[in-house]
Amino acid sequence: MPEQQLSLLSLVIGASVPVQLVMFILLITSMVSWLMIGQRWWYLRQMAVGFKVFEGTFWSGVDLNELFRDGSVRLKDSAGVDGVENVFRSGFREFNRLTKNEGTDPDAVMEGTERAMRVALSREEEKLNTHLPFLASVASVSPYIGLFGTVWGIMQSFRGLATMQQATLAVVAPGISEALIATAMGLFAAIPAVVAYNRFAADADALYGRYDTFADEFTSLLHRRVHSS
Amino acid sequence: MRISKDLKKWAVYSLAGLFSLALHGVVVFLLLLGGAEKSTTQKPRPANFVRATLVQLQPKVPVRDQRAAKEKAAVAKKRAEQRRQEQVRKQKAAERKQREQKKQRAEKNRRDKALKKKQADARAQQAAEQKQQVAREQRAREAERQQELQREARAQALASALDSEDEFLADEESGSLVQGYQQYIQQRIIANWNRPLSARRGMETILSIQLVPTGQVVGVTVLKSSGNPAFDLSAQQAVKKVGRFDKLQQLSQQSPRLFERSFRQFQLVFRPEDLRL
Repeated sequence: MPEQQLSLLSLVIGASVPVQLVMFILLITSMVSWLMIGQRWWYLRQMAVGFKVFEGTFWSGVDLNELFRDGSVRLKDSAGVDGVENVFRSGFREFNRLTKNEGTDPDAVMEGTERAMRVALSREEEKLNTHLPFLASVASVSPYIGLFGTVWGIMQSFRGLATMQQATLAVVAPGISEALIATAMGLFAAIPAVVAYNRFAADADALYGRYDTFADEFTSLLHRRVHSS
Repeated sequence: MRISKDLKKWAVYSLAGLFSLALHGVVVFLLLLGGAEKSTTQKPRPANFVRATLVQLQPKVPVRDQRAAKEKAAVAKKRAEQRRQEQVRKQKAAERKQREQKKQRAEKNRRDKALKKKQADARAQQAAEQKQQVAREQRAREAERQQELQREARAQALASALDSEDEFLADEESGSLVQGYQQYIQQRIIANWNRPLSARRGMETILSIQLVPTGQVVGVTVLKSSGNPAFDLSAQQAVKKVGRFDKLQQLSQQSPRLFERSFRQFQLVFRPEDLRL
């Protein structure tokens, strides 16, 4: 039997308005989510590399004052300081400020430093997690949107079927096929979003853990300095 | 100092956006490419359909008036020409007659000579014909004998026909019964029929169907195609899908002779009426 297949384009164009709307929404969602995926991938990679480089220089025995000044120069050159270096800078700045006035209680100094670092840490965590909620909601919602389009399309095609005397598969098949495109698009948007969300959430978590560890180490270093003097 | 950082951020976003656009473009392009290949077979059919409707819509009134005026002028010219031609023809005909009369006279002389020769030949032929007549008479006698044999055979056939006449009358009464069963068969086939997309109103195909007394279909062939192979095949498949006509089993139990005569092997005109196209 010479089968006649309908092209996807004609199916999409022939779809009813709500189904088309759903398809359009899903297309936009998918595009935006891929944009987010690209941006996140680049950012997290940058952060991981930056952390490795900074940790290397930090533990290489360089003078901390010099390291701090180096960052200030880069800030002025508008290159920007990101990630773990922010934690270091805010902690070090606070520490220096507090130890300037003689006679401050060492515990108070450490407390202030820790607080400053905690603030910087939570800011960094926020940066790491931007866009991830969007990906999560795309992952969970877009299959439902697609399903809605499909159900609507199938509803329409069965309603059309009800008015006909003879129900053949050929009458309903195009409608169902066109409706199923919506589900396919929903899944097309959702699957990459799920994978990317899991991957990036894990990466961000790991990075944050490393920042936290660094902050602790730095604190202990400063602690030694305060109590030795 | 903030500006360059924002610029960098913006650059990353736009790069990611470009990547996402390109990815979706590629996916859509691939899908459409796949769809376009498949849809090529579909295109010529609607074109045929449109042509048919356009022809009916065509007639235009104002053009006709102009045409009629032109045609009248043309007809007048033609008539004038015809008259001239007829005069020429008459002159030619008169000339011809004179020539023919001359020829006829010459021929009469020739015929007279030929007749004398023929008479001499005819006497020789008569002797030969007498011999042939004897042979013909013998053949005629043999033919008569054969005809007699045939008559006897016919008489026997008539006798057997008389015997079966009672049956025959009963069968004619059951003609409506047969029709009912035919309708039932048609219904069952249409119920199991998948309408191919290319099916159009008015298509019909003649199937030859072989059944066994259980109503089971043992053979389906297309006797006369509808011109659309998909339609023929779908009809054939519908019959195969029915598989067994249950009611015909009852029929073959009640009157096996009727079954043998009407449904052992029969032709069915498959013409679904409710095609929506």
